[in-house]
Amino acid sequence: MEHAKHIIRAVLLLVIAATVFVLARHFAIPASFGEYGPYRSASVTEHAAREPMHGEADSCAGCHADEVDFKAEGKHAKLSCESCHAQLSVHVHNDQKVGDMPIPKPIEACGWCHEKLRARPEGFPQIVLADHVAENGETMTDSVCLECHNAHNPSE
Amino acid sequence: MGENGGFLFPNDLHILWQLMIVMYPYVTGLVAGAFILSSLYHVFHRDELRPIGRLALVASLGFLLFAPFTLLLHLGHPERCYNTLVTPNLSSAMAMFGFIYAGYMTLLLAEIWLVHRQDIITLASRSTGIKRTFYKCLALGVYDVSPESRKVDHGVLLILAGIGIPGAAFLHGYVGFIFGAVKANPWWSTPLMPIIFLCSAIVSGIAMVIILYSIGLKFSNRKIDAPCMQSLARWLWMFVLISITLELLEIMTLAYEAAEEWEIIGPLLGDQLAFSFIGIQIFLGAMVPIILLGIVVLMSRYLTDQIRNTLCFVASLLLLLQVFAMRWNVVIGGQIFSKSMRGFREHYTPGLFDKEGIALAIAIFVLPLLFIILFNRVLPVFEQPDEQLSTDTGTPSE
Ligand code: HEC
Ligand code: HEC
Ligand code: HEC
Ligand code: HEC
Repeated sequence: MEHAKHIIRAVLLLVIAATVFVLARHFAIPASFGEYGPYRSASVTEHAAREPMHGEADSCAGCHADEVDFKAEGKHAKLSCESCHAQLSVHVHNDQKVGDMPIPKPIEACGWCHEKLRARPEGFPQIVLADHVAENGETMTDSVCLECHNAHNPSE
Repeated sequence: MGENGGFLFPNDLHILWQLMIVMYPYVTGLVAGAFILSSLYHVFHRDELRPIGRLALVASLGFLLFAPFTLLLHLGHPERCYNTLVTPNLSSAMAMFGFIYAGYMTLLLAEIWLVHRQDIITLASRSTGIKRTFYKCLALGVYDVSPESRKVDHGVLLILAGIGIPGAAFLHGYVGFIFGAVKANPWWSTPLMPIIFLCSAIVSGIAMVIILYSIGLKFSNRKIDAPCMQSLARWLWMFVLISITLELLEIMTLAYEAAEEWEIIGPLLGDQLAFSFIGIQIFLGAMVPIILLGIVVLMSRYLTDQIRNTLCFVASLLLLLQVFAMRWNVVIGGQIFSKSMRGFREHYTPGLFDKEGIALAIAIFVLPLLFIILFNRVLPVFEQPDEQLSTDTGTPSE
């Protein structure tokens, strides 16, 4: 063993490193980690306690009945208002208007869903935005789509 | 919301695993490959490989040090990365990273330390001042170079390298497993994936060592050892053949079975990935080096050293490219088709200066090379036979 002194020292070093790691680990791991699985279980309650940002399907109806009814008549009936505008929380809090609801630029917003993409189902109405506008004899501007379509009821 | 509306459908439109996730298996492959090559010498006593025994280990360490950079760049938030390291667990292949990385790093450091211990002691006794203290610390204060101590070193080294081989196979097999276990993706989900990854890792590791060895000796004005190069070529040839056979076998099975996934994988390989798969992974990257190395192996008697070295060097460069293309085809190829087999998305081209861009990918590739140069300043990566500075501990005759 007398010629294995360096090995013993190396092993000792390793043991020290492992101990430091275990100690550091003890302090680095948050309290509720591992209670139910390899995650911090307190984060579940924390998230559950947060206030929802989005509203429900009819959460605009109370104040914008006109838009809601109008939309329900057309092809966009099934779209959520929030998918084009923004989450309810930026606009309304405790039934009071607290901020402006963003209005999207049609040329961008319509493209989110209608710009032609290979990955979309074939039956879905898709267009190449620029071609479609040119075919209909218009030039591209931010709100060109609204000249012929209503955002809430596109066939109108 | 992003270009296509973020959470709006369809959702398999985005390439989420980008260039850095191509780099990750590539770099860890170099780690595992170089390590396995080094154990051919340290464990299996292929003595003709002695000249690269250390280089392979140090190269492995260099790439291991920088492998996590790819993940850090991909994920962002490097300040949170300690979480994976302090909470490894066995329930997820990715969360095992902590165990595998730390274990492998320890092993590699220990092995490199043992291989260089004689040199450390010689350097400690030759130098003065801070330098001396530094080497003394590295030697852990023990200046024992007796034959008995070397015997001990040799024994420990054998055990470490013995653990290291399955370790390296694990490190890389597990990277392949991460892809192979994604059952929703027909192009990834095959039990063959870990083995394919491992074999191509060994190919890239040997190719890398050949290149580093050639360049390294060129700069130190020494001659390349012909038996060593010949042996490297032979091993490389064998592993390319195995690796390409497995890669083709997997595809042939898919094609022959012609199950529904072939409808999308066929066009994926023949059309979408025509350049990187057929062009690079199969022809330029595999067939050409197989011929070049075949010449070296089968006609070695008729070759001058210079021709042999050049053939090996060119073949190695092509193979590094091949393995990169293979990683690309797996990682990117697996994401450009729709998981519901509807079709393909547009091609993905990485940006130049993106977070997952080309410039950073090159940097991650170059940094390990700088590390090797730096390491060489502290401890010799190539043994110096003329100076008799050291006698390596790995030789079985001792
Ligand atoms: C397809 C995307 C889209 C959807 C879905 C959508 N909107 Fe709009 N909304 C727009 C656009 C575009 C404008 C701007 C219209 C304009 O300038 O004429 C707008 C304007 C409005 C305005 C302002 C009207 C005005 O004349 O200034 C209100 C209020 C509104 N939307 C409410 C709603 C409500 C409520 C819903 C759900 C029932 C809804 N929106 C769904 C795109 C949409
Ligand atoms: C508590 C009532 C209330 C609710 C609920 C509500 N709004 Fe409003 N909204 C208002 C008021 C008040 C205005 C300003 C009225 C006006 O100028 O005509 C307004 C204006 C808007 C505007 C025009 C831009 C602006 O901010 O002035 C848009 C767009 C809009 N609302 C969208 C929505 C959408 C989408 C929802 C559902 C997610 C919604 N609102 C829910 C009260 C409400
Ligand atoms: C959130 C996704 C979404 C956005 C944004 C969106 N649409 Fe639509 N659009 C739909 C859906 C869903 C339908 C119904 C498709 C169906 O009936 O199969 C539709 C239908 C239509 C139609 C009727 C097509 C037909 O076959 O008659 C038109 C026109 C249209 N949208 C225009 C627009 C315009 C203009 C905009 C921008 C203001 C827009 N859409 C924004 C999802 C969207
Ligand atoms: C000059 C009038 C005009 C403008 C501007 C215009 N459209 Fe249309 N769009 C039409 C007409 C008319 C139709 C129905 C005939 C058809 O199917 O081509 C139509 C049909 C559509 C359809 C359904 C296509 C299908 O295959 O069923 C979509 C989606 C659509 N438009 C979106 C847009 C968007 C988005 C813009 C803005 C970039 C836009 N349109 C601008 C006149 C217009």
